Amino acid sequence: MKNFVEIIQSSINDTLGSWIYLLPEISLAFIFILMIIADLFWAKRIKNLVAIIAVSGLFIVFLEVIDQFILIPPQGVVLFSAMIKLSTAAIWYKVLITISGLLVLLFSLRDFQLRNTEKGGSEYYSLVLVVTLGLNFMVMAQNLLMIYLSIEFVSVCSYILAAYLTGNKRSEESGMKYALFGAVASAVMLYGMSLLYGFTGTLDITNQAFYNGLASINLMSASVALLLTLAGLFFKISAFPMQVWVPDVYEGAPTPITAFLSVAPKVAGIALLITFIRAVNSGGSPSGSVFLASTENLLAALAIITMTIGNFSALWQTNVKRLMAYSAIGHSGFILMGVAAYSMTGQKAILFFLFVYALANIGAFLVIGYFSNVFHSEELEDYKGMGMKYPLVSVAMVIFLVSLTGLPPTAGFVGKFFIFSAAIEAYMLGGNVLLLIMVVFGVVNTVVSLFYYFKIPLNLYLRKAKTEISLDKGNLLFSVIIIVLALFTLFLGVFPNKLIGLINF
Amino acid sequence: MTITQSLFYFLAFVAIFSSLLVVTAKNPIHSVLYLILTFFTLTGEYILLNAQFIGIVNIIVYAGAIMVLFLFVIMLLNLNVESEPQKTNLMKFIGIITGGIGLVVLTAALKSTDPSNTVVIQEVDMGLVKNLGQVLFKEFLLPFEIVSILFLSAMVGAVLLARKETK
Repeated sequence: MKNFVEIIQSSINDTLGSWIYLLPEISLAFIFILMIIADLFWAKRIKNLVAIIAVSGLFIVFLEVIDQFILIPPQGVVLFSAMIKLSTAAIWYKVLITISGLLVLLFSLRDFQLRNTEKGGSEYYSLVLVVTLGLNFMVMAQNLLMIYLSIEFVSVCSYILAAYLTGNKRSEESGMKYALFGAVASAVMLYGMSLLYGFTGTLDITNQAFYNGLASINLMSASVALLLTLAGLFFKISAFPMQVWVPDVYEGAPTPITAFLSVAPKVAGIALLITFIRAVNSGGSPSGSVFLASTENLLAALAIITMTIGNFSALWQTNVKRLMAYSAIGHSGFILMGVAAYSMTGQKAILFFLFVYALANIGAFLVIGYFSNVFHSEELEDYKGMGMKYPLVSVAMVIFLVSLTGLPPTAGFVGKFFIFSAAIEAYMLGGNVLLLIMVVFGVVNTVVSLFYYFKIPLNLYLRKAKTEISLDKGNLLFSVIIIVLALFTLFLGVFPNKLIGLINF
Repeated sequence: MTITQSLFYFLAFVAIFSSLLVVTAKNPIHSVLYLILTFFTLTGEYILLNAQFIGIVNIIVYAGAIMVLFLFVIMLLNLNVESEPQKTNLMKFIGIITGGIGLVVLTAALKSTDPSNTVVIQEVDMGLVKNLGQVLFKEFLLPFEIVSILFLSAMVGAVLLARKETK
């Protein structure tokens, strides 16, 4: 019995020492429970109470995340018996996730479809917060159990959010497809993880035993286990061959959720992928890891296939949300390029690119939501002639698309430039020809993306509207956010150093 | 023969006997009931092996939740002998061949294995609930807590999707 008391005391001390580092996550969990209770008791009396709690709560969490930069030592802290690691890079990803969560919450406040759904909005906001919580853990996870749990956490909540518009056929279909694909992906990943555990005898991927165990067995068996595990991550970042769900889900889900899904899980998935690749490649031997060449080749090949599939399929789309879905696949390819060229500069390039991509993509989806509020359509046909009627928003849309294409003077250009230079640098150092081929494909794909992105401005400005339909007034909140995001995109394009100077890890 | 050994042989006999009955029973409900019996005998075996936790979970999850699910499905589907699709001779033939191939592969695999040494467990009370609880609330505290939030949010979502709205 005395033994037990000691164990409990040490466990409590450990937890008390660690919880300060988990402040944002604990706050998120509390806000989630608070929202459920508030919805039950006071929602009838105070309008929009849950939404207000969600937005203000997430803002507090954002401040807490920022505060962590000062809190942690430069090398990061390992918490809860090596379950998670809080490093500067992880905090940056968390900042990005929280910002996109905030934007999406504001977006949802005035979205036409969400306001008119029969379910009401309260559970919606609490679920968005819980997804943010899962994403935060995903970014920090460094134990196979935590990786699986956090991915599953994010997936389960995303399925529900995608299917939120019950009664709408497309939304239900999207949620169902997402759930089916997600279940298969997580089953495959779990199988891979069980093999990894069997080979190495440890769940902690940063443990030296993990690498040694993998390196000591047959390369073929190790690759199978690693590939199966990576498949689950590729599902989250919508990379080939796990990208088939993207167009249908993005088209059917409510527009704010599409914006969220295209950014936040991708950010967290990339962060986790980098952690994983790094763990596999952190070999003790001086000649480097045995997996270095094979992971580099695999990621480079997947980057090429992913961006080519995404960009070429986008050429034929007539629905704007579908078009953006394929463009999101294409962008996953670009980010994978940065991961393939893994180095310290590579990780900074990825982070910057993700920032830029998040700004432009959420901005573009906000414009889609804005137009959808105005004339209830997401077809390219109906965008004809709208540029003159809604000048500010349309100009912002053009800025976002230019940024997504990667042309100066927007931030997208700088982001792509960093990714390309990181890849070239990796080629110079390692001499892997596949990396050079990857860069060539990246440039070709950028040109291809120009064709489909510019279908939207073409319709907005150069085509005449077919019929005069009565239009609703645009939404002021949306216009303000859209313009602020567009200004940020331009600002980062002209002064990228303002952000890059801050990113140092 | 010690009491443990005799208990083992008894449980093993009941387990094999009832699992044979699962396959041969004509009525699907009977078959499910025999399956429950099999699970209970297996639980007994686990407890003999000093693996309390697996034994309890086996009862709760398999004999409890999953078997109820089975029973529900069988009762809802109303499986009878008449409604069951009749297998043609071709199907039976294909079945025999596939099963035979599986048997060949299994025997080949078993033949190539070396007889292993008897496994002696170092820590006898490894499977006790006490030790599991210690690990769960020490090393795996964080995942444990996260699972509870995950279940809560999944529950909110499930209720949300299934709820019928009154207009």
